[in-house]
Amino acid sequence: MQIKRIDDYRWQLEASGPMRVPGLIYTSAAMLDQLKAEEALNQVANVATLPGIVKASMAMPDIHWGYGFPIGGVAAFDWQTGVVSPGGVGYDINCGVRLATTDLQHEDIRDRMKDLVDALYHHVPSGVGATGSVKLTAKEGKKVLVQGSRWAVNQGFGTDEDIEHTEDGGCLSHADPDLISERAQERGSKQLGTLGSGNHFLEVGVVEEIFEPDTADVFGLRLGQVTVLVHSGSRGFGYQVCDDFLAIMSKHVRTLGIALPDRQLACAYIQSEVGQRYLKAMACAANYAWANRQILLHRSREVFEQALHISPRALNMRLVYDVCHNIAKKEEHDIDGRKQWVCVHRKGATRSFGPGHPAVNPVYRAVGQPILIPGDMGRASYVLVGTERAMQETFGSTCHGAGRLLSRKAAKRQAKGRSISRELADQGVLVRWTGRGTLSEEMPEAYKDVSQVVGVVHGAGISRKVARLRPIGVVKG
Amino acid sequence: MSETSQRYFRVFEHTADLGLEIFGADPQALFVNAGRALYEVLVPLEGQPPENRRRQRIEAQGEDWADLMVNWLRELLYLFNGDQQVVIAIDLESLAENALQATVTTTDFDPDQYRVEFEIKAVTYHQVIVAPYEDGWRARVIFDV
Repeated sequence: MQIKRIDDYRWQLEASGPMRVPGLIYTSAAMLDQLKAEEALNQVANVATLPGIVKASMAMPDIHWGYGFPIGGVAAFDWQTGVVSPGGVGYDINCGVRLATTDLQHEDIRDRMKDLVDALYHHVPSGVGATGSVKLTAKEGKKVLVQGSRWAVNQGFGTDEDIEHTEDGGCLSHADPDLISERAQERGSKQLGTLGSGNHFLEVGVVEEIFEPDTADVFGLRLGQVTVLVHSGSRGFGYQVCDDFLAIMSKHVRTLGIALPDRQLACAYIQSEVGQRYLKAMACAANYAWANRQILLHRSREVFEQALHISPRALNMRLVYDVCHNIAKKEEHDIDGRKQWVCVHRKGATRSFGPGHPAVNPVYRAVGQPILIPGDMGRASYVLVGTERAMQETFGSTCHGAGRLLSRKAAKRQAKGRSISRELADQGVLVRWTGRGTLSEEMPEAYKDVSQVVGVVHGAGISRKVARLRPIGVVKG
Repeated sequence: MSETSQRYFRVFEHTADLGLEIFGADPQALFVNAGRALYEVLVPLEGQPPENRRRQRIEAQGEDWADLMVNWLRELLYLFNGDQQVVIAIDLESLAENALQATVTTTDFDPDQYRVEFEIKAVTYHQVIVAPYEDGWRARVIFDV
């Protein structure tokens, strides 16, 4: 496998063998060395073999070894001749992040953090198989899958402004709940309004640094301001949808004569009946995830008000934006000087649409969309802005987080004999968690340094730094 | 992990996920051991065998041994992720390269009584192997955690 340096932030994987296009990897020289030690680069090459892939199989700097597609992968397929792959979206369909600001400053809550984080832990359901306080009948369950965030707001969980500040308005309109299996319906009926486990979290943070004051102003970000970041997805519902369609497509792909280098790349032509069924079922899971994050945000609002004894007006918890980072979408992009409709797979990658794009909601359209990049529990998270360069190069895409560095087993080994919660408390981060191994598996050293990852996408120009947030309280499943 | 368990499976490193390498004297032993390994990693049961038990029949199909293994483990994992059941015994009744039938004994998952060691969320096809190995059989499966 030949890797050629293009510049400080871009590396090309030459097309060879069955690869239809080259690989394009956004990283730094230091992070590339780490990458070579694992399988992720082979996965970039494997994705490049799929029919209808356009331009390049791309990897963002938080790339790491996934299954099938790498995590941090971006690939676009021609809408008429290309394929769609559930493994290119991932199990947790529309896993994503939302950021809200408040009118509180850090000093307003410094002495009340324990009460606040305890209350968030107790009132926002989290952990393995957690069930929510929202119980769904079959009829209401279908409405969630069709309406997404709108369903949650109609039930009193939030405001119209929340919907306006969500990617795609919190709803993919092509969802068809009649394509959902009984198993997925069953899992979905119990888990709406739950955070989940693993790397999902609810984080109270503070705006620590602003890099681009004018854009920060448009996003409503101010120095010292208290923020809330929610990372969650479509829970067991999305997993079941992905699993159901992987089973269907792994059989289907054999009838197509497509030679797959990895079975997890099972796919179907976008225009085939199976491909269309997947996209409609995936949209149901995307809408479920948006409804889920909307409920989680609203619960957080209520908990802040109750725990701090303040009015909704004094709190003024306002959604900045909600982004998804596991999704496949029909988008029109300029490719080699002409417009082309493609199915963009972002698996562990975030949309980064630049100024003027009609898909960016009007309040942000002049500057580009907000991008939310959570880091680890101890260091930082970032707010970026989408750019024209991303539109030209990466189908309007950028990174999604820090990216794992250590396996969970290795992280547990390194954490043995240490108190991760005490170490974090010493850094000013109060943590509450459910799972026995969660803190060890999710400790800061288990991840790449998010500042390095963000440094690459900023340097490459596929998004720009707007603000850095510092965590002060974290709830983990 | 007990000494016994080390003989029939081992955990291997994967950056984001979890891999299991499972061994068996023949395909029958391999498929039973794969199910046991899945639950030993997911919810290791300690102490007295639970009293609250259910038995249920499971069927799985596959295009080949590897596909059958993934589909078998998927069925077993759904018992936990969908029904909050923990598998405590597996009786494999029939096995061929494209299909199997089994009866499994489960107990209710009680989060206060059992601990989840690694939360396994899905069985992937990524680099899956099921094949003869030395004087027996071996499988390698990567799980989403």
